[in-house]
Amino acid sequence: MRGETPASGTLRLCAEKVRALRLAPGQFLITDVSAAASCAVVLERSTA
Amino acid sequence: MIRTPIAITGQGAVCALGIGLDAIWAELAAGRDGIGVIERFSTQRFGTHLGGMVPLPGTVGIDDALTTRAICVKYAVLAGQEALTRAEVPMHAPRRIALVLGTSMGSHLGGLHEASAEVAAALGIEGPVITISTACASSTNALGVGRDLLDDGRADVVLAGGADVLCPEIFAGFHALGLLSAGKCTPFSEGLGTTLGEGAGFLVLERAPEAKTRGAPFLACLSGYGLSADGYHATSPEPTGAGVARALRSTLDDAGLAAADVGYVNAHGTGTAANDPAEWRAITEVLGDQVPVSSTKSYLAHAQGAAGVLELICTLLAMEHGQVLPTLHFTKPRRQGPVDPIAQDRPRPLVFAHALSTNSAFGGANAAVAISRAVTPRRASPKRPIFISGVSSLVPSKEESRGEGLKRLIPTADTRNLDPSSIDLSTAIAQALHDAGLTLSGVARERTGLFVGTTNASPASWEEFRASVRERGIERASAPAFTRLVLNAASGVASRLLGLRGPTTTLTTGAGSGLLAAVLAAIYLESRADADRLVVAAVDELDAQRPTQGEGAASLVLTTFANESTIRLARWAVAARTHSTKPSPPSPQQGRGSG
Amino acid sequence: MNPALMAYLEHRTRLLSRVRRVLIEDLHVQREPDAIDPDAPLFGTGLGLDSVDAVELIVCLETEFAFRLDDAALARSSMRTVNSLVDLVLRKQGGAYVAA
Repeated sequence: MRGETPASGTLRLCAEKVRALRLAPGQFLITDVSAAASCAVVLERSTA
Repeated sequence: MIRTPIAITGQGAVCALGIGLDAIWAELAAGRDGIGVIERFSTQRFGTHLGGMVPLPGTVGIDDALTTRAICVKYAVLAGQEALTRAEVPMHAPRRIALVLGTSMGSHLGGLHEASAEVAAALGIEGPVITISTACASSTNALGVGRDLLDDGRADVVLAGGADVLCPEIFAGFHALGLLSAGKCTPFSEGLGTTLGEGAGFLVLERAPEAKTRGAPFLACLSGYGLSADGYHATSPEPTGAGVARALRSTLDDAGLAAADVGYVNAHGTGTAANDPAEWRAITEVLGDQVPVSSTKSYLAHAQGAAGVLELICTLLAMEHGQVLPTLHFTKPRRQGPVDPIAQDRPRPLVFAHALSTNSAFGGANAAVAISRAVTPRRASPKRPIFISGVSSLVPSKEESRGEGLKRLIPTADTRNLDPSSIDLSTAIAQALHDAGLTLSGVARERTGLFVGTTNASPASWEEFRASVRERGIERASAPAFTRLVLNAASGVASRLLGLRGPTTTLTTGAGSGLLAAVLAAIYLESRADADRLVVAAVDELDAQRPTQGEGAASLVLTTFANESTIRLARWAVAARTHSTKPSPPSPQQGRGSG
Repeated sequence: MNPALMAYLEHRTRLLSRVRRVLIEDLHVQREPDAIDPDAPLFGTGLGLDSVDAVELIVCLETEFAFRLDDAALARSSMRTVNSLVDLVLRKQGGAYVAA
């Protein structure tokens, strides 16, 4: 992809990690930092 | 389990009635409106010349050289400073103070988040700075988001409200849509159309027990809020008022109130032929037809994104004096309208325990808040785990024209008059719902909401609007393009095309807007009874003015149904910029999260 | 056919194609010109225009055909079908055909 996608970029990363979790259990920490705020989410699928 | 009540400990405002609460109350009490002939810019080429402009004494230092954005920041700083001062907020922990600013200000003035950052810097606020932009519902929506940040322990003090400036482009857009009245607006009365205004207003919100401990003033409780999407039209409300009714019901439910508890409603009441009857139907359906309903737009005109918080501040000022505000200039009722519009020329003595204030916006976004005179503890719903059942990431393809992907998923979608942002956002959401295996119908649509993060309204629509002004003159500005200039326009289109009628918001922090939408959606969905699923989405559109800007969209479907996914959105955090970006563990006194 | 009528019909056909082009290019109606039925309603189920488009349509016709429409009643009564828009243009041009 060319160019910056400030709004959708990290959400796209979340989507990719969810697809990965569908293949195998695990945990991902996704963060984004801007001048306004920093945000983080943990996506996880447990082995149970 | 009891949810910690949220106290309003301070307020500040700048509006057509004056600068500061004392000046504003003097006008409200005397029954004087702030509407007059606009002098800041020429209205010569339009059929109407009235506005509710902030009266600016020379000392405030605003002059023609200042840009619209600088005026907006100035209003916000004045109002924010008054609120913080009145609340006697200690500034020793500025990173625990958040700013949630609602504005419908156009992106042609630069990134909205940059304006909010200037406001935060001027006020010494160093916590998270969130800009909510759901057009004319923005500041009411912002109060709710501020409440949620406190509930989730992400700040100790929130300055929440909004700011907007009346500029020639906004005036021209409303004029082109035929929404402006020739005389002063007369909500619910004969004489159709609205009068535009401007200003800024902020409330200081805190968790009530902590506010009490520090000896803060107590004005009222922000006891609940509600959001909804019409999913109907770019500018007209759903005529039956169903969207507004959902926001009102959610607010009552969130506040733990019954319809009979509500003693007064401050309506959106713009005065237009479409808004007022739809809103009255909604109020009647949820609260019955005996509750007194007035519109303070008859005093301050329609302050756009700042309207909601300014109207709530007026309501709070009147409450403090044991009164409710009238609808000024009311002459003769329309066929559909409040039984008691408080049609008089002075405030009416009336003591109420609880009141609602509601706003509706372009893009079909509705927001309402409840305030209560006393601290009203209420039962908290059990926290629900949140799962991710569908995802999508869209990169616009060179091989097929924009909209083809959308038409594959929604064959009936009419893509006429949709800009790239609207099409890409809707496509990403449709793909995520498809990925989740969801086909929404009936009540599921009302219980599925949409939280969107983005940075700008569509640059293509901006250019179309600018071109219409350039080529045809401002008095013939393009109405269809104007409707697409609000930040939540794309979200409104997606709501309509996909039938997402639950809670909705659109926000920006510049970079990271999409992830923040996910965090706010998680906070909302975890503890509320009015939605089962929230779709989170973000969109970026190419921008000729910013060559580094790329394009794309992405979406996640958050659900509370464990049988829809095994993947959890397990923890989340939002904090000031330079904090550790690791999510902090849930604070025990909040009993939140489940990580 | 009488030459005046022929000329009128040719003129009317040219106007129709220009009005169709305004609908496609300025109002973004997503159809081929020939697929726009001259008698289809402009609003609602016909061509799918709505209230937001009404003023825009007038402005675009004024620009395309270089006239000014200040008569709100005439504007309203003309906003029914593509044909009624063509009639409006003819009337503004003072070129309506009158059968002898």
